Amino acid sequence: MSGRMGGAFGTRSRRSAPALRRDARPQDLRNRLSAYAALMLFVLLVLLGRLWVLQVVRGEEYAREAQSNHLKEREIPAPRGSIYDAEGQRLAEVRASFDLVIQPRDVDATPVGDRQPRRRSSVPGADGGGGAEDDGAAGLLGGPLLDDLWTIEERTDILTLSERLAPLLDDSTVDEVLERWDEARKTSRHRQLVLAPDVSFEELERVLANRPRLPGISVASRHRRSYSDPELFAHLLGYQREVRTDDLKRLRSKYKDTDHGEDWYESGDLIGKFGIEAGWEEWLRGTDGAYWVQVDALGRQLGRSADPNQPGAEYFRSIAHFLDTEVIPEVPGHDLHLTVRSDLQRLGYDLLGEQSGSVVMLEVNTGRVLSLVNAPSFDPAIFARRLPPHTWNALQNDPQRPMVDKSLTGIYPPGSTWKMLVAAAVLGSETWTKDTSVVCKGGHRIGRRTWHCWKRSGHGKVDLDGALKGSCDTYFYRAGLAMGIDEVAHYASMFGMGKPTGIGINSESGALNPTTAWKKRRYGSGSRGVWTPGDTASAVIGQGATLATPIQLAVMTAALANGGLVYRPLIVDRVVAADGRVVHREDPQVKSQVDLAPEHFDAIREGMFSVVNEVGGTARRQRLPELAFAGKTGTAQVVALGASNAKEHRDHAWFVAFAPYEDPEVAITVLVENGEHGSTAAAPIARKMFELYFKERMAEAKEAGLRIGAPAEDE
Amino acid sequence: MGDAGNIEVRTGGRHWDWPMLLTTMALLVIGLATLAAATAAPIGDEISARVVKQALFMGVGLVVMVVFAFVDARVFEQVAYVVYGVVLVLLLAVLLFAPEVNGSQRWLPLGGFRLQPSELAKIALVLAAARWFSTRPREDGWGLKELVQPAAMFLLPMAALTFMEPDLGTTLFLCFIFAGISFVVGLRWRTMAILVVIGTIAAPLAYQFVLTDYQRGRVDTLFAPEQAPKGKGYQAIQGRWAIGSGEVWGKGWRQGTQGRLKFLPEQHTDFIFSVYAEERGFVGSMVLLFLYFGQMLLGLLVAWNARDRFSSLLAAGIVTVLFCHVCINLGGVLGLLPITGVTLPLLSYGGSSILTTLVGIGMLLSVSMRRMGSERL
Repeated sequence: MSGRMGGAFGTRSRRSAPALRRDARPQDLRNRLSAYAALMLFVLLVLLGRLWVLQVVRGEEYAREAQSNHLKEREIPAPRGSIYDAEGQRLAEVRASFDLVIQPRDVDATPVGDRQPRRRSSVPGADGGGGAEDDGAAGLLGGPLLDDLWTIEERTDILTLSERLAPLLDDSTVDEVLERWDEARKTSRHRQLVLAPDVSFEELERVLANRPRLPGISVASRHRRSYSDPELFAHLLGYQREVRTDDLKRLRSKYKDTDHGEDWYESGDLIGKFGIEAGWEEWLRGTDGAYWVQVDALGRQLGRSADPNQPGAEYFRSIAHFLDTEVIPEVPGHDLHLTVRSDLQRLGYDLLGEQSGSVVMLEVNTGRVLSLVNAPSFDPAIFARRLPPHTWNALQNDPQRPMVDKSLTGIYPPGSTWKMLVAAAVLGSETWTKDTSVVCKGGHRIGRRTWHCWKRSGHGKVDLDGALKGSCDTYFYRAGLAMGIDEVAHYASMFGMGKPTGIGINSESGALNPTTAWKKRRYGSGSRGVWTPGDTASAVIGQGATLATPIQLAVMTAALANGGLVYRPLIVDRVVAADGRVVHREDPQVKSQVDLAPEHFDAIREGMFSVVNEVGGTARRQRLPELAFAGKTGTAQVVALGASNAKEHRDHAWFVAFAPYEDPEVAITVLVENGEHGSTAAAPIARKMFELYFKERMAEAKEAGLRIGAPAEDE
Repeated sequence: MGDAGNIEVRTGGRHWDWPMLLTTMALLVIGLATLAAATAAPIGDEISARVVKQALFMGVGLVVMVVFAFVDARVFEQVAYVVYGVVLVLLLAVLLFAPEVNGSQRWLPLGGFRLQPSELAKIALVLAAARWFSTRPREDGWGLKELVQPAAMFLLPMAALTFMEPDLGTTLFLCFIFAGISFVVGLRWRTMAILVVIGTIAAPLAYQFVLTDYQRGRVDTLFAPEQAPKGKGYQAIQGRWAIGSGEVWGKGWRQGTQGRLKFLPEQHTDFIFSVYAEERGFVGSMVLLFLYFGQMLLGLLVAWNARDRFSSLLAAGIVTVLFCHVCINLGGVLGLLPITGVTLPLLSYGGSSILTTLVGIGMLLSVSMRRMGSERL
């Protein structure tokens, strides 16, 4: 061996003989080794070139992407404004609540058609050792690392995620979670989507304990409403619901060119849907702020500012300026101070009790609403979550219609409360004077039919005062026929009848103030559309076509009390910003003025005074020795006479009143559905409301032996 | 061997190949530091247990490397076929006994340590092919016809067994090694051209008919990672953002947000370069590439100066293994090749990878120590 080697070294000819010997020097390989080195240098250049492109040419772009990866915008939810009553008592405030949310980019969407149960992918540590099979990704990339807590959780699809999430929630099914996902994705593919709203602390604990199994899911805190007395103010304050997809589009375009910007509302936001929450939404709603946090790949939040123990502290310091400047403070919503007094509201609600009805009380010289009671009521909290269909149906089918704001949208025949308007018309049109008298023999014959007075025995000879006091139908039949329905409607219209009062919430109704023109419009120009004397007879006693809402009658009563000023009813007194500044004040607003001589007002008011205070007055039993007030009862037929006496067919009971008689301050409308008689069902409620409102003064008056608001000649 | 001393004989017998040793040590240090960054929890300064484990492997590997360096290359030559046979048996044992993990069998559990015979297969193929080719120099180079025999003897059995695991990545890897050695022994340029043409035609067909959906996805991802930013393209995109966001100077050791906050899957194994590039930037990446390619070029120099054909081919073969690892890994991480499960030598976490790499370098050192003129010990 050594000899051969020696020979090889000795002969310097490398290409000839030694080339065939096994341990000849490998010079014949050198060409190829050079070529190999050249190939390597070429590959090195390619790799360096690629690095140059990635890190130098496009480095900034990728740095931005990497930044958006671990720096997440977090919303600072703006608290919605609180709502206070007239005495500063808080009726609505915000409470902290938690939603489970997900960023669409953090989960795979499952095609809708692909929703059959499928094999779950394995979860390290969660399924135990059993679920190790998966799609082989880990296989190609190296061995599985079951002990590694920090390896990124296998990203999963929304179906798997829902299947894991739903059992942790108290009352959500997989389908519900998926439904929310589908719905929310329609509006935004980038913002976080709410998978489960308003979870309880117990649910939250379970979810957090299972966090490694729920990649992508995070917890967002959100303000939600809490009402101090939900049922008492349900119709007035209303409620919020999650904004609907189609509403969202409308809101986007609505706020696009305003200061709020088109993203003022986002998927999952709450929006007022009823009552003041809806009507005053723009004032109440705040503007969410934002800050930035650092998160890891699982969405775990690591910190929001430079902290020496924080990952990437060096790097973080370099972006600290960004984190500081990029905090957008939230703008809280405005507080509302209402004109409504809780004590009056509570009393009205309690007095109605089990009955269905409405109590509206307002200040006659400002139009400020003191109570706006609807009974029965409902719990607005049911709208905070997905409403089960049976709950909804039960509310919808309840004959007492608890969901309806009867004060503003309930349209009822006003019955005898309409008679003041007829009186105003008959005096104002100078058809009659207040002393014109009519003999009531229990009815009035029109053609071949007799229109009965409610008092079949008749009232005898009555003038205006007597007619109002005894609510004589005959007098008003004759008055109405004497001037025609259009004259009545003209005056009723001046008092605000037939159109909404402008209170501004709950799409209030305008009800109906019928005219001959109306009937023609409604029934055509044929004989069916001709206004008949019988129509007039019905209309003037607040039956037939005539319809009114409780709030309209309250505004009318106030106008009678104050000498003809029709105020727009106000429910909000002022809007106060978070810093205490009053940003808006609702000033009394006279919508219109009734064109009627003061002496005619006096005549009508005298009649209303007699109703309560004179012998023969229909509400004589409600007379208060310390407070002189005036009112009018009403009993409105629900169905034609002679029908069954079933509860839902009984007459509606009305009472409208103002107090004190002299220098009136407040007006009230009480409606008790199926209460039968205004004098017994409605009037006592009004009287008790006055007793509360005038409590101190009545006590003083009793002490002094005086009567508040009593007319001079009454002494 | 006095008559040999007159030509290119270095005095003193053994020479440590210090440049090779230093680049290796530098890569090991970088590897450990990068692993510490890649396995660091988002909060805190603790060193992961994996770093300790890896350091242990490196220590063992260095000892093994030195031992191999002292072994004469002739010993490698003598045992080459035996090693090849043993590894073939191990590969067979994998198919018969290894537990199935993620749908394939790769690991032989050997009492606390899991052996991956496919790593050994790379070295075994180099040894066997080097020995076979070393005694068969061909003046006129190698054509396809001539290559059928060695391919059938050495490549085919191993390729078939790894393909059955299935471990397509290793199968392809073995093909590359064989091709590399064939190139060095004189694969004809014309044959190479034919192979390239066949490959160009076969690739789309293989894509369509041979690859599984999963593997197809990997290829698709290469060309359009943005199509599936969170699906199959997730890794590619996150890796790209990590590397790119390092910009020129990097974010600093353990300051890489992509790595530290675990946005990179497999960041301590196959994607460890993206952690390094994020924290060290273009400048640091350049240094690392120079180290790798410097080491490989030094390896080629060892082959150049080797005292015999076997040693030369052994050195070239080992360089080929390193070269394939670096190219396939970096190509995948940088978005030039599909992402496959190929480790980055000396940086990626994993005992098998570290040990086999250091064994290979040990053999390079052995060859280097006995280079031309210094073969007399």
